[in-house]
Amino acid sequence: MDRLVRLVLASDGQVDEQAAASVLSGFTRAQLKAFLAALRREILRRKVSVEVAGEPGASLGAAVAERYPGRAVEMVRQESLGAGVKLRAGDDIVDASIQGYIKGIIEKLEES
Amino acid sequence: MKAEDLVRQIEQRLGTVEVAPEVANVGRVVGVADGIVKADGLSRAGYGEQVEFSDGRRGLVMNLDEDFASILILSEDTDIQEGMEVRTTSMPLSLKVSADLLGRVIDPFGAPLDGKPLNLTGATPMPLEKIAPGVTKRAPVDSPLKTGIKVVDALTPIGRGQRQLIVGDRNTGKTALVIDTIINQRSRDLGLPQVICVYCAIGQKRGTIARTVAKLHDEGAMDYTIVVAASASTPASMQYLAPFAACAIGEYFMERGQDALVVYDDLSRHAWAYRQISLLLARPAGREAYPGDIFYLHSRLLERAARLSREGGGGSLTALPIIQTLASDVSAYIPTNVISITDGQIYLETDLFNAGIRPSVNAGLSVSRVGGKAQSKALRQVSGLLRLELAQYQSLAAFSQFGSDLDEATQRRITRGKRIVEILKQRQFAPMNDLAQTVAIHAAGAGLLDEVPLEMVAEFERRIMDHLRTGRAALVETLATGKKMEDATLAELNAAIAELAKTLR
Repeated sequence: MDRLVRLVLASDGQVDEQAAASVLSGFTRAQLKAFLAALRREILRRKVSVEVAGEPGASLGAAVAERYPGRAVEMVRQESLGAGVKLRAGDDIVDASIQGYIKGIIEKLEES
Repeated sequence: MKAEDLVRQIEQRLGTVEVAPEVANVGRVVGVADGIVKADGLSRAGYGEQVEFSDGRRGLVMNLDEDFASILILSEDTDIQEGMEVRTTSMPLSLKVSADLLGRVIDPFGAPLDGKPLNLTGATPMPLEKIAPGVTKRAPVDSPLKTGIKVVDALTPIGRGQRQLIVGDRNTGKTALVIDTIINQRSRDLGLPQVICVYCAIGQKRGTIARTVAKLHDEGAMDYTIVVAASASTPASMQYLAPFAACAIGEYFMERGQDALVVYDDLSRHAWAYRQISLLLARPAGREAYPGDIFYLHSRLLERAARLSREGGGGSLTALPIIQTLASDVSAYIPTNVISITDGQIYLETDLFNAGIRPSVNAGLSVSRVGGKAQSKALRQVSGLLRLELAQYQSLAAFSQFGSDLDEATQRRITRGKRIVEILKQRQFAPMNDLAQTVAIHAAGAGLLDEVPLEMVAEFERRIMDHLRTGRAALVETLATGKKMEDATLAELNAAIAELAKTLR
């Protein structure tokens, strides 16, 4: 299903309309459901969303683009992080924020 | 560098906080049914890895498919909703263990079930799944694990580090046998080190578990025992993990050089729980609808029983798995699997039980492949010919109705066989020490009770130890060492037995 999604969705994010039409007309409900899940995964995989407390600097965007080449970088201002950044690329999450740090400390205290 | 500079450097170091980023791999719940969660994402999740739902509940990755991961929910309440986030932990499933667990009743995750708070000091996390000790780390099984049950200790002796199966139909005394074994560890027979016992109840009724725990309490056995319980009302996931948790606890003590005993009561129900999980995970069903890895499930569990070498700490983990058969069918799938994994089996029979022969051990079908080396020398000396005598009696027993028409040799064999069967009977919760076992078995096996009426054999057994202690303290002392008996010792013992037997004719 992942290969089919890549046929419909080009690397530049453009949809092959002919292929999409044949998917919509030829697929059963169950197949369409599986296709939708795979499509969502692929969209998520091609995007890197970065939450940052305060004004995002240009250097941060460049560093993220260098770390994840070929992916669209989406910057979001999120003051509740306190300080630092929280990055999501596909189903990987890297939390380098004060909010995450405090949450980790609380969890460790609760465990002990 | 001046002292002030060092102070400044330390102050600078303490004034900064190093925040290592938390890296996680996440997924989203796409479906929940029958205790199994399907989640997409989780591209880095590993098989058998522990995952955490956004509400703090835990799960275990059981299947990794192309589009989703199947996760077993590890809690009794299943309020997990579609869309909920689930993240990997990079941690295998583990249980915190310390000596504070002794005397407690816990669930497979270490939560107390006895209504008392549990504070573990210096606890070590022990993984539920672990590779069994390798060949080089093991030593031969060479010291006995006394059950206190004559027929077992004489005919199918169990050694520390052995895996001995207890198999039989329902109501044949399987649990009674293991409970007696646990109770017997209190006496530390033959001066052997204390055995830490772990009793794992799988799929049993809560009332039954409560009765067992109460009995262990009454007998003072909870001082060195831990009960891991996953009752019939708990989810299949808990029942599936219970024996692994019990094994992990046993390993904790083994790795510290102690001797541990783990009782799995029973692995038939464990196999049912695993079958249920496997069918819900849509794994291909094999014989009797069990999954293809049902053998590996039990072999990897029981393989963890070991006697460690001196370099490895010298500890041991003995496993007593129980299997319940249906209509005495030992050739069914699970019994044959576990028979082939273990180092021997004790077969309990309904007919013997109903005939009043208790423990209802079938001596012909029961065997211990390594335990003989772990028997006290005295007991081995007197029980050597017992199996043969018993087998000969059983083949002749059918002729016993002909009475006086039989030749003298056959009659003598039947008479002796009856007394051996009688002496091997034993009440529940009355374990015997090695000395009493040796004397009783020698008396019957050597034919010293042939003249004693059958109904007086039990009376002989009740009185013989007091009889020996009166005026023959030196003999008792010699016998209590468990060493091989010299001719003079045997002669003195025979004389003492004959003296008492004469009074009972």
